[in-house]
Amino acid sequence: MSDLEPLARRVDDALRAVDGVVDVYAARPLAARVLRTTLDADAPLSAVTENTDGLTVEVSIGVTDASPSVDTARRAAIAVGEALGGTPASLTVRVSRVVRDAGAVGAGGVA
Amino acid sequence: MTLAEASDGILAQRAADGDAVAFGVLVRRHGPFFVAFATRLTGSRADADDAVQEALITAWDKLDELTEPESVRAWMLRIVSRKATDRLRSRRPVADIDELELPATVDGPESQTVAHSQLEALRGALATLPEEVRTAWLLREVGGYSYDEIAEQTGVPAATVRGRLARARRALLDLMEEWR
Amino acid sequence: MDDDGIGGSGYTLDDLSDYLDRGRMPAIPEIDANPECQAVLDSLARMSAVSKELVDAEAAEVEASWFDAVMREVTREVRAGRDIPLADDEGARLVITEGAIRAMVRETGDALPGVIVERTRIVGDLDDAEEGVRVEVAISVAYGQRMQRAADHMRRATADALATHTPLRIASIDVTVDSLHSFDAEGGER
Repeated sequence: MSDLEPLARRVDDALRAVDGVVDVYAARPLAARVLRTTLDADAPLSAVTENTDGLTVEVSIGVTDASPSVDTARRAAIAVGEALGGTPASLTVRVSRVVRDAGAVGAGGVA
Repeated sequence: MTLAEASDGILAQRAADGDAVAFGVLVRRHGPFFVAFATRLTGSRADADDAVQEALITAWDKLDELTEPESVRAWMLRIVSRKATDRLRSRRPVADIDELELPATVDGPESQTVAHSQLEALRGALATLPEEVRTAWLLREVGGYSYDEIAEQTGVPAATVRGRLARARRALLDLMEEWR
Repeated sequence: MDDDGIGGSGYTLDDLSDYLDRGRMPAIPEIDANPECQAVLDSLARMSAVSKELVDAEAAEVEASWFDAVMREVTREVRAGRDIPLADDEGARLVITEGAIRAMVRETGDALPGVIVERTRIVGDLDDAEEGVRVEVAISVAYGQRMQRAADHMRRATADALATHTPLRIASIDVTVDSLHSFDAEGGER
């Protein structure tokens, strides 16, 4: 799936720029749990795969508590569509964490 | 508010809910003791490090099964013993006690109190015991497990555990006599 | 060892070993009254205590890298739980995880004075908008705080957080004060 990796990276970057998104997480749980294996630190976090219908995209984000999660998730979905040049055939935006006092994106600071 | 001072019971419940920070506090609080216990059991600090790591990760997975959060330390110790004794069982028998890593002892007659020399004497005595005998002793006297629990962990009948324990006691009494 | 056992009591070291493990019950006067037997039992008890001390004394510092390896593995296993629908927008499925909500409730409670959240639960069918879900929270309250007030605080803060971040219909929020806690200078109650 190496030709989809750049797309996944683009999605990661687009998410980080979304107002209200404070973190991006691995979309899919890691397959093997082996002690002391080093993760590929550069691997993209978002999951982009392809089938006959088109692209299937799954993303996992952390959002600020200052704004309703649904609003931030919506903005994230729009950003993903823009990054891919069109809404993918299937898109799941999963809010995996709500961070207190995170403020606007880029403010960092996990409570 | 700092979690570092919270009770084991509170930490265990939060960890069961998914709070990794709370679990981290438990690991820092009890990890060193578990490593020391596993080192005594396996005779190897490196093996102990590995066994306790695996045990803690297993504990994290199974925290939901813990019915008494306040007993999380004893519950985790049980998993640690299991992992350590698994390692013992999968090893070839250690015929030569020189193969065991003994922690460096502190020498210096000036610094030795009676209590300190007793510790050292016991450390030495334990190291001379056959592995399965030492294991039975440690699980009983430090781990506090029953015969049945030791039997289950070491894969032998309870009667065998009883025999090994008696053998440990006899040997230690003799050895400690010599050192006195 | 002579046939009369230890100190002439008629009991062997193996017998004493059993006796010790049974907690010296039922009491055997021939052992309890025999000085040699008592000396042996005392020695065994002392060795037991020293063994515990030995392990405690050796509880050396574990390296930061060892601790990090454990925590890396632990934080990998995110307890996400069930997906809770947020919206379905033109083919984009937006969800929030149960784990995110429980963590949020936990942190909301932790921010209240004198409150530490112990457990959180969301009970019910997350897809049935009509039915509503029950939220159960167990908290620990610091000595000196008024329990009822802390519980009410918790309930209100939880309701606010849930309303902001989920479309769930909340049938009820049950807050239980499960324990009390105090912190002392030494390093906390256990």
